[in-house]
Amino acid sequence: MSALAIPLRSISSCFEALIPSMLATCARDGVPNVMALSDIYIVDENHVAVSRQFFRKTHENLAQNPRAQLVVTDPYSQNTYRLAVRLDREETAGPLFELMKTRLQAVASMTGMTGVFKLAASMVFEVLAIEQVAGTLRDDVPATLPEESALSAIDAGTEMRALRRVSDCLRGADDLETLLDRVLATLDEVLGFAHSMILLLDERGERLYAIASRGYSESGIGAEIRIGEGVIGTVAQTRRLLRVPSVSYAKRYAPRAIRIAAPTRSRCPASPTPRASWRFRWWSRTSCSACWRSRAAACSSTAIARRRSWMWWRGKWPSRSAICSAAPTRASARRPPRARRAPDARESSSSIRPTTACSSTASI
Amino acid sequence: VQGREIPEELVPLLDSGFGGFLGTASADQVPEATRVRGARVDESRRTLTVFVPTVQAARALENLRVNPRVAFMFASVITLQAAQIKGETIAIRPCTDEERALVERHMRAFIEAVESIGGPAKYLGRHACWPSHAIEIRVAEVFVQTPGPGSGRPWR
Repeated sequence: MSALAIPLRSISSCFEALIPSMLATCARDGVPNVMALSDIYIVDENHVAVSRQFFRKTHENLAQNPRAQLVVTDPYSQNTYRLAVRLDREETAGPLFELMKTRLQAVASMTGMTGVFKLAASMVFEVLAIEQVAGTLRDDVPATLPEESALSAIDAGTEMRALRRVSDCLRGADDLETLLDRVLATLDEVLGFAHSMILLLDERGERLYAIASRGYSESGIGAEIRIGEGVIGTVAQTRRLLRVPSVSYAKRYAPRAIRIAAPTRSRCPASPTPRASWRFRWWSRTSCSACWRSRAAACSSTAIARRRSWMWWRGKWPSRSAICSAAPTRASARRPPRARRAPDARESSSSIRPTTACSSTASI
Repeated sequence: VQGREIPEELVPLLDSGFGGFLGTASADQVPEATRVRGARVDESRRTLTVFVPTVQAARALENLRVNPRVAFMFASVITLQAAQIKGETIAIRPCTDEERALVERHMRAFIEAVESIGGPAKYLGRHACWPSHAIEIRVAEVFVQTPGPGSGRPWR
């Protein structure tokens, strides 16, 4: 397998799903077909993968003629690339399939569409050649380069610096609250995760609750998420690291799909129902109220979370924890902070800015 | 090619700042997707003209000389409503000055649409849309392309 003149990794920002990509195929009778893709995954130096959900004609065409073309655009430079590809294989099991399935499941869950999105297969394409499309950009308009951000400063030494800073936190913290705050501050300052939360599993193993948060206009402590719900809940359920590159696109894409699937449904499931089990919504609303009962409820919720985190700290709470963070993409890194209450896209219905959500779970 | 009309509900979409690509294929069936910068529907709605930036479309124009069959996919940037028109090319020519105004209007509408959804609109000003070629297409079939289980079905 020969090396590509333009390495796949060098155009990785094209695969952040900020700009939809195109997949062109051709039937045996010479009739072309073009479809938009939300996600393309880099598998290795010469392969990319695409999720097969609703493909019909594309799948038919590829069965007859495995040659295809992907068109991808760099969201920052706006350079466009054409990838000459050939269908190599379809996977219906294994790590790649599971990764794609988890992301799909998370997107479906955060928009109330679990069961509608079904990953039929991961289609793996061999990349035969990559060319930059000539004439895409005007020469007379100067390039608008992405602004400097915390993320752009990440280099090979970043991990070591982060590790050293976290070690310093562990050494220097006298109590759990300080420790958690410092760990999240380190994630922000060293890795650029401006919005983050640490969540623990409750005693019943049904919900995660937040014991620390950073970057939100209101503290997230006491927020609860049901296991399997939204990006965070899905990550906790599957115990897989997950990165959702473009929450905004996923949120617009999903309701379109459900309207086709269930045209008689009266409520768009992307809008959380009043009974949404994400308690944070309820909690933060009531905490904003002037009503003393609301304030009491908020205080009680926080106190319970603090108590739980203290027990966990003391080793009396065997638990799985989740660290959830939301980092701005390079394009939006320098944007003024937006008032957001939670990292889960379900909670940020008014925000459709390109945002990257990333969650992970760890046994502690 | 047995013709059909473009559904009336798709005409406003084709007159808006949609995102679109034209699919062509070479004689040996290698597909090619080229960005479309505007479209104009004929009064009969049985033909339409799409505009493609000439430099980017060099290979597509070459393909059309040997294989006139095309697929034109277009989608609303805001709602993601999408359709695909399949048909045959009946004419290829450089755009007129009048069409240039249409192409530039489309580009402005496209940038506005991207901006309205919080997309990286400030980077789009660099996109070249001129000089362009006009490709006239006789419509044969129209398919639903909106994301979802109905995608790929003929448009009723």
